[in-house]
Amino acid sequence: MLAHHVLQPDLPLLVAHFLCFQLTRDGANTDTAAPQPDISDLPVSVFHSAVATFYAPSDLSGLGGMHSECIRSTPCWRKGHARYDTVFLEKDQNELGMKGLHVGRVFLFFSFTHNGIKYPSALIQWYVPVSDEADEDTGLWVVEPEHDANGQRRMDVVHVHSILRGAHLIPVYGRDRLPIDIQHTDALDIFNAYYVNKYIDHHAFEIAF
Amino acid sequence: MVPLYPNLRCFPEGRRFKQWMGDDSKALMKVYLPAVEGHVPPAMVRTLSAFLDFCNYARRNSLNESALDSLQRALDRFHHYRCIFQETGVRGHGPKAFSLPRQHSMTHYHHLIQEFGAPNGLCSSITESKHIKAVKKPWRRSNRFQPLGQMLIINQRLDKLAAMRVDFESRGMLKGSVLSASAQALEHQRRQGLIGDDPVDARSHATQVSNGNNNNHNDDNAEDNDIEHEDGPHVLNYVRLAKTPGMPSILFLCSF
Repeated sequence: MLAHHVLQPDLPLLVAHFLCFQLTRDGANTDTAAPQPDISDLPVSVFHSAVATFYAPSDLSGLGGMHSECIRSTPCWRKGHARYDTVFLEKDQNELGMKGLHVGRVFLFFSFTHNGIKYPSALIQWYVPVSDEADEDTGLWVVEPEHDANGQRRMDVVHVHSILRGAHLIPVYGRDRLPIDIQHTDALDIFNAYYVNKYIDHHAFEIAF
Repeated sequence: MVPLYPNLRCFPEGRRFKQWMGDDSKALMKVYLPAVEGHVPPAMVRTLSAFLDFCNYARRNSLNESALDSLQRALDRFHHYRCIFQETGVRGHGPKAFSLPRQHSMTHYHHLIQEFGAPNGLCSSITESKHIKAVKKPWRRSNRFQPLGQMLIINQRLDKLAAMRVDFESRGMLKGSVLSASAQALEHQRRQGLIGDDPVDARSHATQVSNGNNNNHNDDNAEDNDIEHEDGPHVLNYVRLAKTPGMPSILFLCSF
């Protein structure tokens, strides 16, 4: 039902993959080939936002330099358009800067309980860097939406704990004049490439260089 | 056309702003680079990128060695690429091409951060930081009728008071209190023998009084304290005077 509601027919499959990965990673049954968990009648709670809290002393911050921000993933933002925010996800803690980060767009926050363990998770659409280095002129990383072999946008279900904080992407506008009828809410859908904006605040500058 | 994000700012006026403030600049810096990319020469984009990098490094609340190195490298890149503004004719040639005080002050950041620590968001702009003292407060003091002249006179007088204060300080006139000064004068006179044997100087008079009369004991202590503590001023309005804009603080800010 939820898959139809959010127009993502692959959602049950992705959740099953995610759960399978989580179960094997936890070491519960690493030896046996984990059977596909049954998720057909799993009760799922859907959330329209999540709050990321992180240590950002360089920005205007609260007690002890902690800063929190809201990540939205809602079909109706302020009684208007849908809003699906982009986020940084941890890839490799040993790598510095953008090499240790993924960029993704959250299409759904949801949680479910399996075998007594609660899994808060997120449906993510991936963005991949265009090259191994930041853009020479601007010093910003350029990412593009990741497509699979069939030309579909690649999606995944990840644990919420792997999300670091919100990311800001700015389209690579190019030199042509933009059509007059496009809205800022479509900005994340219609462009081919995006800058990862590290100048959005000082914490982003510290992590996404 | 930018995706939504917290702390982004709209510029509904678009152009011909009535007032442009520091916060507007900061908000514009967040989205400026991708907006101009492709419309100006690449070297200009690199200049802006280096400048933004520099600003962001300098704004950090703590800087380590590697951050300082990155800061210096960003500055070097900025100086290297900004020649494009001469080549395209935006700035003139010759020694006055980049004779811009605030761009020059960037060269001092590396050394001064090593000396004094991270600026942590300190505004280097003298016009911004002195705006309240030099414009807002004098305006509030005026009676709102043709305020410019009044404000100028107020500023002039405050400056004169500050200069006078520095002068007094150099002459040693602000040390001690009135009592200690008169005691010193009496002492001076006694040594020169200008006073006869009958009158006694302040100090011995005080001791006599305290010996003979217990009621004056407090006065005696106060006087003694005044004479001994000559290292700091005891006048009550000293604090207010020190709060007026002094020349040393202005010079210090300029040198950043």
